[in-house]
Amino acid sequence: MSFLNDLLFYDYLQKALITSIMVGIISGVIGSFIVLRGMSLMGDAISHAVLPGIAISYMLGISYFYGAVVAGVIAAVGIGGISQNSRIKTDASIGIVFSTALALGIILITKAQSATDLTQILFGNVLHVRTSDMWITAGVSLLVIIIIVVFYKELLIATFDETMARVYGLNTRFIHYGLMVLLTLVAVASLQTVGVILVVSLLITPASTAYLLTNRLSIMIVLSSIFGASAAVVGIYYSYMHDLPSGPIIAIASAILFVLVLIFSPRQGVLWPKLRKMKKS
Amino acid sequence: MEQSLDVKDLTVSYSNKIAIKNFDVSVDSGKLIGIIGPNGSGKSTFVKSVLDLVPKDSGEVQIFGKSIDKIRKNIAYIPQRSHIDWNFPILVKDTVIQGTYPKLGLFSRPKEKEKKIAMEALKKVGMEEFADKQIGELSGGQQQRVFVARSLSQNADILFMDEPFVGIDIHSEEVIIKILKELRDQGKTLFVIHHDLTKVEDYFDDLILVNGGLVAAGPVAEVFTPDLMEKTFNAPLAVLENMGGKLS
Repeated sequence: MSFLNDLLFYDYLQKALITSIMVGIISGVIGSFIVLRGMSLMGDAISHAVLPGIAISYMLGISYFYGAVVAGVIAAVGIGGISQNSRIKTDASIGIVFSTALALGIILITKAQSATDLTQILFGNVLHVRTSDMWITAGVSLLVIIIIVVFYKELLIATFDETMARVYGLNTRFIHYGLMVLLTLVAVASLQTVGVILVVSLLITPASTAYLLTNRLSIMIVLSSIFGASAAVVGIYYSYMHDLPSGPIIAIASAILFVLVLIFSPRQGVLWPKLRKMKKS
Repeated sequence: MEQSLDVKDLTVSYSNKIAIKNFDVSVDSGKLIGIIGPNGSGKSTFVKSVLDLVPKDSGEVQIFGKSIDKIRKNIAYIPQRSHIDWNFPILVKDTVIQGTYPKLGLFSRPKEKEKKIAMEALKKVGMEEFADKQIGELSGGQQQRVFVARSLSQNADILFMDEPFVGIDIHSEEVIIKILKELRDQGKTLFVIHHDLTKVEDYFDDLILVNGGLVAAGPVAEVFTPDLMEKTFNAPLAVLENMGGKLS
């Protein structure tokens, strides 16, 4: 296979592969919590909201990482602030913040850089991953996995029964914003692989697929990571072989897996209950 | 007798609407206490503000003579069933183990000892054979028993329950009330939000009657009276008796 051959020879392809596997894994991990907390739209919003941060970083000549993280956190706080301090519901405040941030980001990037960069940021181009991007992703991955492993029990109880968590003294607001920071980091790490527009697909689709297959959070997180990483590898392969943008391929690969599981999952699938019914009658 | 809960002049409001006003009550420890009132009377708000889950406008709450923050790990809480996502990917046994979290503290994980505590608690509520089921596969009464088991494995001195008997089968209700009475006999203090009048006399030692504030509090024999009930529920006696209360 020429892909495997090229993988051995081309340094940039190796970097792309390693980076996207890491991105698939951490998106699966964080995505599991995002899906269970009913915050899928929040994931979408924050991944778009990093755009102006990236633009401003370019303008200042600093690493896009810092600007993106600051912008993501501002968006999370902004969304929380609007819905807690007014009668506007969370979905509407997410819509306001995310569309504004995206608009601002597009304007700033168009001003600061050429249009090709904008396309890459929006849709991802995993084959352009630089060594520094790979190390940022590795750092983020390590941090995310350590935090989830160490605070697994707190994240579990705060997600499952927030009131009990608060009664026994956990600061659930801190946990919420902590997760938002991790989500921002994952979104930034995913930029090169899937692009701003489709970060949400890698966050939500593999986690939802895993959710249909298991009754335990720990297994859901592991499955979700495997699905995310697999979709990312498929994305690299087609992106390289057929010269397509990696983000959309990854999103479609995740979605195909989701649909297969939705139909065939032994517990939650739509097929087996119907077959069982037909057998009975 | 030691005072378990001491509330002074508690006022709580939500966006300019006062939910409870000038609430004063103190309760002895080692009692099974019903918090009774109609829907929207502020009984949930009362409990939430005692637990510091909603901000107070004014007033002071002490539990065992201490502020709530010093005693949190010793408080068990059982939410209303409707507040739980029953599709959550969690098994019965892992739900019960959560009761051991408060005393484990950050960084430590439940180990064999905690698993044993959880299994014993599950046995106590007669649910050990369901340990490996996902919580959504259970009936309402079984779900409530699992949450009672969770608070048993917490081994707290104070327990708050929000409408535990709503929508559950008679067998589960009997199992739960028997356990609550046993806990009371061991010296624990239990607060149960309850919105109807059935079995009030069988279940509780004391009552806290709530309707936008404190109506009355004290032993069932003293406060479970026709005129206090009418005052609590803003309804004539005939209606209340239809709700199943045998009013003396």
